[in-house]
Amino acid sequence: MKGRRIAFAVLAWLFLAGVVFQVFLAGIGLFELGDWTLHAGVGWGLGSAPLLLLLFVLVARFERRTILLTAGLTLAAVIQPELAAARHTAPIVAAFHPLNALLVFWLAWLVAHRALELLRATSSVVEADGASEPSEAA
Amino acid sequence: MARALRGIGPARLLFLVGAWLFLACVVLQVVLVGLEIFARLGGSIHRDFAYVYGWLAPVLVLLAGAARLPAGTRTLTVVLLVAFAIQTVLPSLREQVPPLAALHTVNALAIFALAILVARRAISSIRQPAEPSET
Repeated sequence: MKGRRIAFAVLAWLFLAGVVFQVFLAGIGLFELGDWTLHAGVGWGLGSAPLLLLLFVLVARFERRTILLTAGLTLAAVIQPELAAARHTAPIVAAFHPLNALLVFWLAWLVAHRALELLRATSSVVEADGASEPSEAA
Repeated sequence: MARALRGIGPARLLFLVGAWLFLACVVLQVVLVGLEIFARLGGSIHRDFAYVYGWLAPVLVLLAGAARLPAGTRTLTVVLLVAFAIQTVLPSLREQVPPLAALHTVNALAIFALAILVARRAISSIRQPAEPSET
């Protein structure tokens, strides 16, 4: 159980770091320090990364709130590059790309904190079990 | 809701309203960026709008003090004010220190996160008693 929660926490925090890096790459493009190629490339990869998180919470049978948060994050992340891709056909829809980026960041933040909470809860249960062992033996 | 709001000092009530208004403005600000970039919304509405609601940041610092909110919340409002001040300066560094200007987008995330924390603390502050005055 603890191993799965550690892996989930690592993945969730790596994704959050990836989102922040991706937003920095957007700044690089906006302020013309480089082109948008890297932002676009990382974006397509990052857009599908939460699918791994979702698969993880489903297989590991995490509780409902974590599953819902991760599902929401996956949905927001998957549509994120699609919004940018709509800039020629539907610019108003594409205009929601930065707003959806905030949503992805917020959900990634919630999932990452949830992952830490789950990890702490597991650790305290393990410690409580360890502490109760002598008395049980007695 | 009305019963919950009764008995709250005016400073706390104003802090609650101000904190949520600030968060809403940050979100709207990001919508305006999208409209400028993707829908070619003319002018500099994104920049101008920042000056429309920017005054809320120092007001939140003052209200947090007046409402005698916990030290953590007061500190958060100061950090939010500093982050907002930095945000207005970053684009002007485009020529001198371009990589710093690129942090404008990352700092926007920080402002958003801080605004959420302050707004949530504003709600929880309604249920807490005021910190005793030092005088």
